[in-house]
Amino acid sequence: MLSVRVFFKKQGALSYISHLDLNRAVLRAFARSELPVVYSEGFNPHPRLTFSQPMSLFQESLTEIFDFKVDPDIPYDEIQNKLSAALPKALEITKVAAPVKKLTEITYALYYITIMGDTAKVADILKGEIVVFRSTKSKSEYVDISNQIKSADVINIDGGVRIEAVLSTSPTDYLNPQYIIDYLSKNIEAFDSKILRVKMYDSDMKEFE
Amino acid sequence: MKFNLNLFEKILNNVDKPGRYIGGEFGETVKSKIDGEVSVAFCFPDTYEIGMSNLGMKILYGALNAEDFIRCERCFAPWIDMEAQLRENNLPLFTLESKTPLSEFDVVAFSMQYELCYTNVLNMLSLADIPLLAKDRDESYPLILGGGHCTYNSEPMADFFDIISIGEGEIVLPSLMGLYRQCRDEGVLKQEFLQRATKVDGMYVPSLYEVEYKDDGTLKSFTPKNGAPAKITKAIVENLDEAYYPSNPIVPYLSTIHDRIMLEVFRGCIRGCRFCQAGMVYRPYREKSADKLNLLAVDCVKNTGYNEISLLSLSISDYSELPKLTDEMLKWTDEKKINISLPSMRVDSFYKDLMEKVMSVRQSGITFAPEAGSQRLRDVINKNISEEDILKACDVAFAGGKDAIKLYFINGLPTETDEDIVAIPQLAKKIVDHYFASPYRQKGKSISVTVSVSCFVPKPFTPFQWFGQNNIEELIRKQKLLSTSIESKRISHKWHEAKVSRLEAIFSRGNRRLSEVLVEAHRRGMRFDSWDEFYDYSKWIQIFDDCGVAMSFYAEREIPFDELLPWDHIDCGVSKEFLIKEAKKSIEGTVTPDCRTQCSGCGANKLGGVRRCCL
Repeated sequence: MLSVRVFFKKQGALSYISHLDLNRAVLRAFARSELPVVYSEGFNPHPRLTFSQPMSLFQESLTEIFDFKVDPDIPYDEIQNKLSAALPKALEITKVAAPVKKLTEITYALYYITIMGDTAKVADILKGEIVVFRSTKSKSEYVDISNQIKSADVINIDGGVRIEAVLSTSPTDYLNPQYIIDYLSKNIEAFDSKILRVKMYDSDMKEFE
Repeated sequence: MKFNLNLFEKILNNVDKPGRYIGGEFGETVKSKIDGEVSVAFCFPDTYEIGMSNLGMKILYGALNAEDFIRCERCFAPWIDMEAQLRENNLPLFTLESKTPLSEFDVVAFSMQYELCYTNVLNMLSLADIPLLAKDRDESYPLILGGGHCTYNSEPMADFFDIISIGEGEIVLPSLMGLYRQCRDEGVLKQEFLQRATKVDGMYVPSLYEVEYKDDGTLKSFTPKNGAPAKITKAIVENLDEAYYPSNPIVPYLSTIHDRIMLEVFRGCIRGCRFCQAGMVYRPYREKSADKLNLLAVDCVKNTGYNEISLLSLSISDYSELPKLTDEMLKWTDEKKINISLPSMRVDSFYKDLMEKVMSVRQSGITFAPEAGSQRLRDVINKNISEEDILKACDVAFAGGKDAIKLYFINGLPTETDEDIVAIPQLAKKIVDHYFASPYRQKGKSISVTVSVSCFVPKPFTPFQWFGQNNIEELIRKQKLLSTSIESKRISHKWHEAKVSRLEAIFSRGNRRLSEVLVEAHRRGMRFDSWDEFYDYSKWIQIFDDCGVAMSFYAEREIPFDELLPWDHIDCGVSKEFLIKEAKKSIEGTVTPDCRTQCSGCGANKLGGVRRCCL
């Protein structure tokens, strides 16, 4: 049995597809590829497929991951070829390799958050407390998310800013970058935002592989 | 209007389910624009999720794109939020593949599967900046083409279309596009092209007919002009094994209504239920061979990655090679973890072996359609099943561990009395009692029977086309009577809104005078009438009133056999004489055997076809 880690880009058309739909698209690609994907045991067997922390609708990423297993073993480049042919064109695979660390060890991610607005004001806001209203299944509360922002560089670009932010992205401590945008547009004039996930890191800020 | 892609991407952020509008799915055909091509925007006047579940659209999208000179792209009715964004930002309605405005296509084709989509057709034309009425469109506009189930009486929509394609399109539509290209090469104008188009099988050009009415609103005459044929005979595919079939359909990202492989097994129906339009207009009965279907199934699975195959037809258990087909498929589907499902079972042919082959153990329920509660009324509608058949089918279901039975019925059928209504819950009660007396009853388990009742809608080309629909009050009274006659808490009752069925009846038997009503309805913002959240019957009453058109004339009137019908110029194969004979037999309560037992001479076999019901 061989463990497989697929790195792919979620851009363009794919950013309008929900995580659930993307998950299903990959399952169907498995079936089309005729790769010997390993299934779960039990009453209703299905391929064992795990994604890295999913992104919200409209967000883009240069570095998404899904893991699965094949049995018998086949070379990674063959897996990449077969899977690429079976996936929708918009889903671009950048690398297929053996997993180095567990997906749960992803701790941070670097995001480029672009927004039309005043650079100085944005930088100023990001220095202070950022209290947002967060609702989950179990509770709804006001929380300060500034401690989930490991670093944030504000760079002036044409007509707006790019925030290069490293945010908590572990399964237990995940900050959706949309909260930062919502906070900004509530407090200053800011519009036309875009979110791009650029890199993922482990707890030592080493690029996740 | 130029299509602004940047603006489009921005508005996608403001709508629900943006995946509906982006295309790019696996299996999509994207062709580059080439000289001499014929471009077709294939429009489905409902949401993406519904349109992408339509087999007809899959077949025609594939059949048209299979021709090198045709570039066919898709378009669906935008949801309310998207429509608001398009109008606000002055963006025209566009296709998914190349994001091209509809108005830039040579042909804009609409598939009309149910009458309540008519307002959506008009709304889509208006979103595309295309004048609604055919007479207001000059040479600069695309050709507007209609097709689909509704076209057997498309008169309410006749004024909006240049051509309406009657019958099965996979062979004749590419021919029509070929003629279009030829006429364009020759510099022929639209009017001349339309006249030539009538020579292609099944093509109806509404503008080539003059309609006159009598004072009472009924038709006086329907006269062809400029050499148009007096009768338009629907087009059929004679040999389904040889016809194009989409074995590599688009696999949507979004989950659609029928998110599985649809394998069409045969066309037509041997049964002849007298209320059923599909059972008449899709005749002659023609089967595909089991060998061909099995090969197609293999291809479909390979190309799509779906894990469910639905065998599609009007009454699947009538397929003469069903045991062979299911056996052949099970040889490979089990191993690939693929389920086979049969969506339409008759009680008289539901047997244990079949159930074990195709029923998923996870499904707890099963659905049958007795349509009427009493034997008398089942004979009137020619359902040809007995109470014994129904209970036997339930036995099979119980033996297979099913403990939920759903039954379909129709209220308001011709000759229906209160006794017939009360017989519905009585039949449900018999099933409940049957369960408790059954040796298959599982300890500690109970049964639920759901009675789902729709309202009778008289449909063109059925023996019941001459009968009126009950008025709303009567339909509602009958629903209440049924509800109060239920004596067991194990029986639940669901019903279809009478107000919706009434509009359906009006447009089903409508004539060209309804086009004015549709224009007014569109002007007042009516759309998505088949969606509960948008259907507003009180508005429709107001619109009909303001247009001076009586709803009851179309819905409730009993039509004499000798009256000229708005759809008499269409020949669907089945003869009017046959329909009259069947209507008379229904009043006597006499049944007609199915076509395999004995040919009743409906006339459809004159159209040809191979692997038919009788030869």
